[in-house]
Amino acid sequence: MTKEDIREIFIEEANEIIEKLDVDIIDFENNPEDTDLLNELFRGVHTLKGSANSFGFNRLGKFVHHFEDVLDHFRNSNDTVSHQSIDIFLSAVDIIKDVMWREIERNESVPENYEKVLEEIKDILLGKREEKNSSFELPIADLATEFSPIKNVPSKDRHRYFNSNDIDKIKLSIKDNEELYHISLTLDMDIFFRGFDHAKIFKLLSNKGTIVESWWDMNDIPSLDTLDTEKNFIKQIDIFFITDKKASEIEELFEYLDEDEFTFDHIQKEIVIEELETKLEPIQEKDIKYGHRECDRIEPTPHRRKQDIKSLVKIDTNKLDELFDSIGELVIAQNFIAENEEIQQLKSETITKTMNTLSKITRLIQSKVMSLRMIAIHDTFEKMKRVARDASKTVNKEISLQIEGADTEIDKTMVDALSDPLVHIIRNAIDHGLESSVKERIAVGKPEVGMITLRAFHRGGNIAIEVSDDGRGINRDKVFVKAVEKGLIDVDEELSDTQVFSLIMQAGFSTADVISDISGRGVGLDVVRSSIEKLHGKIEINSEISKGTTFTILLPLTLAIIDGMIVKSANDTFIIPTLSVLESFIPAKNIVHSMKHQGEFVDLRGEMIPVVRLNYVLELGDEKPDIDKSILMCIESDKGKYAILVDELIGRQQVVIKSLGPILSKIKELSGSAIMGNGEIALILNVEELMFQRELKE
Amino acid sequence: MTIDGDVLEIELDMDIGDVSELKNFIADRLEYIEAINVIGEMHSFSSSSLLQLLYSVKKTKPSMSINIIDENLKLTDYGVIHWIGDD
Repeated sequence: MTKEDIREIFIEEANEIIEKLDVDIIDFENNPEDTDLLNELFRGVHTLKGSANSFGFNRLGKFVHHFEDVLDHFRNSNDTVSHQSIDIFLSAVDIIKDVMWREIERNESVPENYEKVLEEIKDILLGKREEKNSSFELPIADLATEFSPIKNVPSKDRHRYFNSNDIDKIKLSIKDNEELYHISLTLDMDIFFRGFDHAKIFKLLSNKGTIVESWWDMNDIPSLDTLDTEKNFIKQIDIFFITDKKASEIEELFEYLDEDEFTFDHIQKEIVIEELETKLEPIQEKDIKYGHRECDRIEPTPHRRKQDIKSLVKIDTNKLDELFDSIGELVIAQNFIAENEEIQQLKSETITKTMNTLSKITRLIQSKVMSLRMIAIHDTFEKMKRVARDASKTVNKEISLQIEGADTEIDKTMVDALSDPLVHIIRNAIDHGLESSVKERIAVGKPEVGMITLRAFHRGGNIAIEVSDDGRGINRDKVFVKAVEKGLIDVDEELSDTQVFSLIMQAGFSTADVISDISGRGVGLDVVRSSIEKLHGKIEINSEISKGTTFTILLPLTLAIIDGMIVKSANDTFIIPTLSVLESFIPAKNIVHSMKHQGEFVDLRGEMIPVVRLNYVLELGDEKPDIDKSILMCIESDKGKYAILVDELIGRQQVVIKSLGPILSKIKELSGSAIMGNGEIALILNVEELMFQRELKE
Repeated sequence: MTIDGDVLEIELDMDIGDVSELKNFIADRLEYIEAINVIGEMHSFSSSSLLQLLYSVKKTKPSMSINIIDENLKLTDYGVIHWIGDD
């Protein structure tokens, strides 16, 4: 493995840690008593610090180091984390993300507010220290005042397992010409790899004086099955060292360590004997466990969610895609054999049985490989907590975010692409969906706190993701009028509520001067719509005045397979995504009408639906099949319903999507292709574009 | 390093390479080793990797008797070592 490979692994792991920080911080704000969560947060930051320094990501290492100090303070004290501190933590995570990106890009700059947030982080600790200093009455009990740094080595707010009694006892062994020093080691995980070891420091120190006692924090030592003996898991060692040598001579011993891996403090040797006598307490045998008294323990740090740790293997998604492609080819080959006329003519029971078994196994493998791509939407939903929190603070509206169905599984590729549209919809819901003030909510009999619900569930073979608010709702009439003004629709068009609400996602609607009570609803929603369409999905909007609005994103289960209606037109095979098909029928002649310059229409139960002749829009010959001998596939698109005229409806089938080549992908009417069981290639139609092409041709 | 029935005896002067082998040795026999005794001179240790290994063994199998982990470790050259753990 090359150094670059190791760097790539670090970047991937670091990004995973960073992504989780946001979620953990928000969860901790909601559950401030959850010390396990705080410890988990700390461990993530600690690991990030160690790795960042090892890979020369020094700006990241420096920042994370201070963040770690603050977290360490809170986990080792009874201080509560205020909402203001949570704000700073979240700002710190933003900086960490930004700096990480700059480090990856080998960009030497730092974010504009890097120093500002760093100072805020330091100030949290400073504030806590000042509080502590002022609260101690006995100077000897306050180790912070007792330690005087030798030089400008940053004295970290590390955990102290020893107490003032321990120090006082050690002081009794100091001779006149000697001094007592406290050395705290927090060596990074890669210390052995760097050719160093705690043992070396102990040896060097013992050559210069006497190591009296040391406290070894073994809380991070993993169990035997996960222990890597070549990595350091000893979190911290506090050494008390007596010497007659100069401090500078001792400090030279640490020149091979990073600045943040050690502190070196001088301890005043004066001792107040009277106080010592009153403070010393006998150590009871029963109190001793693993060499440390129970009464000195601040709090246990059990490993969080051990039961959640499963045996997992990370796989490059490209490899999964390749595997899935191969399985797709296998399915096609298997279908090809099954449909081969020569084989069918054999009429052999054994061959038929074997073919059935092969088919069964192939589909089983396909299903298993499919499931490898599926991940729970949980992580994406968790990230939305931060989005909701930030948005609610920005617009000063108190909200409650309800999450449901987070364990619903979705294609990994889709999860990545879903994040931005969700962020947009949630921000819109908070900013514009909810009433602008508590007063306004109370006036209409609603609770003060606005409710945003994020919900995922299966609906008819698809995944549905809903973002609902209990706000004021969208005024249908105003949207309609605005759309007419913008020229998006004709004034006499008859549209359903859903179709009217969908207009707010039209590009032409997205202007800043939209009417007041839906202000902003249109801004950027056209981008959201096109992002979802790229995933072969669609968005529905339902809204009721004074009750709220629900955006429903409907997505196929996976991007790799599509459920399609197989149709034929001009002897070519096409696939229409089933998600868009409302119904199919053979029209009677008397319900088909032609209008000058507007083309053909079919009267479907009183609703006039435009007809799109597939062979005509795709220019597949000049033939004009009789409409009453053809099939009409009724489609629901963003622009309303229309019917695609095809020669034949073969049936419904799940097909493996193949991307189009660079030339064919420029044809907007097509969104992909698939290889059918007989080896024939079928093109997948982009139903949103077909209607547009009809209008152009008419 | 010797093993006598269910008691493993080791010395403190193991370097990091020896520790890696010791880990594999113990992991394969974790079920039936009941005690690990560190014997020989108690002046110093050669690698902290050994100490974290023994602590890890104790954490994995708390019933295991490990003389230098069960009590404070007193070393002639390095003073008294106090263990701080979460168990």
